[in-house]
Amino acid sequence: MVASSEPGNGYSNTGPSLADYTSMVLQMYLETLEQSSMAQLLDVGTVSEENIMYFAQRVKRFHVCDMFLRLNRNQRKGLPTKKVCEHLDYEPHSFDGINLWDFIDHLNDNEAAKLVKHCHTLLKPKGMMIVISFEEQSAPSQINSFIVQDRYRLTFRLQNHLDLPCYYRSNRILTDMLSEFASVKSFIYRNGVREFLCKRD
Amino acid sequence: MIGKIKTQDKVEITKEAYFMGDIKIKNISVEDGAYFKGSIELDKEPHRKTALAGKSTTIATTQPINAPKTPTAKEADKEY
Repeated sequence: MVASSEPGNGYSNTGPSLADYTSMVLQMYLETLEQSSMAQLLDVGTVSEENIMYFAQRVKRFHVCDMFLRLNRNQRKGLPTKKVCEHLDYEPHSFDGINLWDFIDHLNDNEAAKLVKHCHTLLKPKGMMIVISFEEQSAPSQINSFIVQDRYRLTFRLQNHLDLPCYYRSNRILTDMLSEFASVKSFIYRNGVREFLCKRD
Repeated sequence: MIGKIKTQDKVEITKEAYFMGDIKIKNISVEDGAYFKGSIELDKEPHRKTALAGKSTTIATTQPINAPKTPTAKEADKEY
């Protein structure tokens, strides 16, 4: 069950600036992926040089499809949001891991649920996915990239070229949305970031 | 550009670029906002001296793509 949520008009203009943090979920995720020398990883963006180098060094092949840019372009052209997920046209069972980051925060409930279901089909059995969602009161005023620094430290970089709606969801709604997966670990941080690590059975 | 790139040089993808394809490289530069869909495989093999002398290869094709230490626990306020 997914409760409806109204889109915000971008993030709140009064949201606090984001503090860097060390991601517990990223550590668990990568420690698992690095056990395989043939791991295939998909990142839905935003694309950054740092993340490409970071992840490509740790897996066999790192796939990138920046859905933030695609959603942004669709919205500028007035195309339906549902079209955006068609860009993830990979074969089922293609990936050992998917970095979904906070992309679902920019999709309505229906499309977010479709995306999560689609990611489930893209993952191999035992494949894992990282999902991040901001708490409403802590959300930044504009879109930011999650940039991985050394080890498992995440910093943020403003993406001025992106103008996307935002949807805030409760923990319950998020966990319901991810119910097709087994939950591995979830964390909430002082900076308002909620991390979910889930696994395909 | 749609295709494949294999090179020992650095590949740079600017934000004006539209690239779909597979890349095998040692180093890559990607600007935020680059319209990129593809895969990256880092060339982790050590290269012989002859390869390091400046010989590099860049292969571009028009084939369609069929792509499929320890953090501190106190930073996580709550595990749920």
